[in-house]
Amino acid sequence: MKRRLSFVAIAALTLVFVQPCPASPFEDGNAAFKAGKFSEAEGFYNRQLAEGGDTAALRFNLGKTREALGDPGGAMLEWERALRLSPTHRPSSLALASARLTSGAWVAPAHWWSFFKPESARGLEGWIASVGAWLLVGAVLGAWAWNWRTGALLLGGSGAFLLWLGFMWSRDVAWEADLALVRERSVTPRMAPADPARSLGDLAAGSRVRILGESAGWNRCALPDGSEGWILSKGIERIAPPQ
Amino acid sequence: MRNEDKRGSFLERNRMRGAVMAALCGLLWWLGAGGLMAEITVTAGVDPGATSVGEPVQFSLTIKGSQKVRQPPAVEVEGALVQYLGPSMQTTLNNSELSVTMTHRYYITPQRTGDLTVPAVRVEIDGQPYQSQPVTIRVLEPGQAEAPEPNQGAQVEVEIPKRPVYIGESFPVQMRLLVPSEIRWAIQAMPDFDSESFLKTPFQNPQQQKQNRNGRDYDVLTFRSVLTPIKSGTIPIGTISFRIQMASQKKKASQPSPFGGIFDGFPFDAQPTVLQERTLKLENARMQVLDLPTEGKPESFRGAIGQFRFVASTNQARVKVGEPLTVTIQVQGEGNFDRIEVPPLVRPDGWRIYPPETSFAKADDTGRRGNKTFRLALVPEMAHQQTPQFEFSYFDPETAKYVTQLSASVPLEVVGSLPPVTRTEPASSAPVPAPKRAEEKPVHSEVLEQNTASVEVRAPWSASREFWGVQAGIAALVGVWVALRWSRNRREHAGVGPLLRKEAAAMQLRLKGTLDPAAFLRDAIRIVQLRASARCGQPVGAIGAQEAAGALALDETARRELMWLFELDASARFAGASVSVVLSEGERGRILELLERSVR
Repeated sequence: MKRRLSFVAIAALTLVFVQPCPASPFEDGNAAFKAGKFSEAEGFYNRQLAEGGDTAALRFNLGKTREALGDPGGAMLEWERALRLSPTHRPSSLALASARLTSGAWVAPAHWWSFFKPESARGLEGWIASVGAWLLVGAVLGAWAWNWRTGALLLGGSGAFLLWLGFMWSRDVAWEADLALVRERSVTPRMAPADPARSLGDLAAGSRVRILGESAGWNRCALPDGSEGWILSKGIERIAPPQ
Repeated sequence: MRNEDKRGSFLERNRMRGAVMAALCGLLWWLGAGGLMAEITVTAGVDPGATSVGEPVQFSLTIKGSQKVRQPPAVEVEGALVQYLGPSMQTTLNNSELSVTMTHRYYITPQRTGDLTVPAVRVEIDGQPYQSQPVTIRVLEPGQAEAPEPNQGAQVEVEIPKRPVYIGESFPVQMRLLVPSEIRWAIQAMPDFDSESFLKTPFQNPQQQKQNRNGRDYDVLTFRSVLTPIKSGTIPIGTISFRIQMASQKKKASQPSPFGGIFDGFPFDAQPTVLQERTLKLENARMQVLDLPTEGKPESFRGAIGQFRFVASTNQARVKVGEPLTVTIQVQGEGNFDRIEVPPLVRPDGWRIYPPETSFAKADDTGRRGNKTFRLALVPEMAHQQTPQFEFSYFDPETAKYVTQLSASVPLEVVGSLPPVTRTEPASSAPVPAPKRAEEKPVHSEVLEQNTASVEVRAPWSASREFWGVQAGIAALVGVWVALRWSRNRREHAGVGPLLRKEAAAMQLRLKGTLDPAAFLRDAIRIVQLRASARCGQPVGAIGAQEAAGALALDETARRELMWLFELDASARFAGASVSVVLSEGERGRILELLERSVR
């Protein structure tokens, strides 16, 4: 009797405490994606985004879902966001490069100073600029107080370079907030914020522009070739996700 | 009989010829007598209208309709000398109407400043009196240059459509520069058109012609362009500026030639005329620009405004699924071709569209008329029976209505079926409507199985307290250091310190030339004392070796050298008179070096 009772108790405790762990929305999204239910998958991923925070993998999967739903602009937007979170996220960079080739997206080449920005310098742009500025100040003070010549030149030159580099990196970071991607298959930048205004050519989905201003449903944008044009606001979306 | 008939007809012909000749002679006599000229007018003019004392102006008395006034009419002007130059006659045949104009020319040389009036000149023709109107000449002070109108009669005008135009509509415009023919001029560059409300195509090469307006001949330069308004309302066209060089009006010779006529002023006024740069502007022209009506605006409208014809064709009647069908779309007509895009498909389902190859053949030099051709490849993704149908819409500004045209659809055989491949997007943007959601069908999993760690978004450095705290700390430290240093420098350079240093420097310069060892040592000690005193503020005489070493902050070696110097000086001063001080070159060098170090 005792043995039977203990067996029942163990079974009850097992039922109470060892329930199967519920799957996360991320996993549910993956399952829906594999089943070909892309709309459902998108819903799960969005839920994960709201509940579990932003991750590069989540953004990548969301991009894949949008690609499968026939929204290449939306897919590229998510992969861009994934790369914002983790610039070395290889799946996202590969998917983005492939999608850009397919859609004919136009992205302005990065500036040369961006190429040797180490990953560790992310977020430290202002610090680098300030170090450069203080070195420059030190060089000036050294020349004033102790008649430094060569030392002041070397110190001042290094300081000026660091200051400039930090400034350019900071400026790029500041501009990132205004970068937007073409969401629709094609948008037509125009010379003025009106439908009949002269067209400046077409921009394919995934093309990157920088928003400079807004007026009545139109955005004034810096185009990849450096010129400026007006694009319908509904055709583009900021890469920085809405807070 | 026949011969008589011939003679009779010959006589009759001769008689006829004689009558015609007589009539012609009579006509010529009548013309000479001025019988044909029914209306006779007498006008007077002066050129230029303003002058200065002693500078002649030309006065012309023009008699139109008669040449009977052969003698020069008398012209008298109070305050001016009048000299008759001679007559000239001009006969013109215009639309079978003969006109005779006789002009008597005079030089009027003012003798005083102010307004001179040439009174009405009376002439009598066939017993009838006629008279000209009085003419006024402005005579300015000699130093006061004659003030012709700044642009010497040159002007700018623009020709725009009479009717209101629509926003986005391209319309031709002619901008004309008119310069009086008697002025030598040269244009510097294409006109400058500055407008915030219109877009403009580049100016075409101008056309030049002559034109007579109000009796004055002008050189007319016409520039053509196409404008497109981008704002609505009654808006200014903008500023049209022409930069031209114009010669100053030719100055008359101070004295007319005694030979008159073509010899006037020759060769004495042959000095080169100076070309002056002027800018002629037109700023006040406005025109009305209307918004495109929203009522009846078709969905396929992409901004084409004008009058167009549109046709789409293909030379393929059979195509396989997945293989391209080439379609040529042509839009012909007149309007804003630069805003004509590929017309959209009426039913895009089952067609994959690739970006078109576009060409435009201009039919005029402004590009408003022409033929725009799109060649595009469409790939059928399923079976079709007809070629795809395109829809093209434009706005006709003449009727103020939207016009929609559909391309013809002809039978097409699409064979085969699409292989089961993964869906890919078209190579680039295509004129398809809103993105269509793909059918949900199972595909291989390409998503990532593992979620990565959530990334915390760091606040930007500019919003970080640590960053600004560190900057403020460093700035405070540097500020304190700079303040201390500055105050020390100021203290050092205040009071008698600078004077003492100056004296020490002057003594050090002289020291190298001092040969007497005792004087050399005395001066060297004095230099050290002056510098130490400048630093510590003690009297110069109270500074010994220890005080000097302390005040000058010398290192150990220099301190020893200083002690040695003071001892050498003491031994030289307190030795007996029979003992002479001797300083070797090496010792002099050591002392000089020590003094250098005391400066640092």
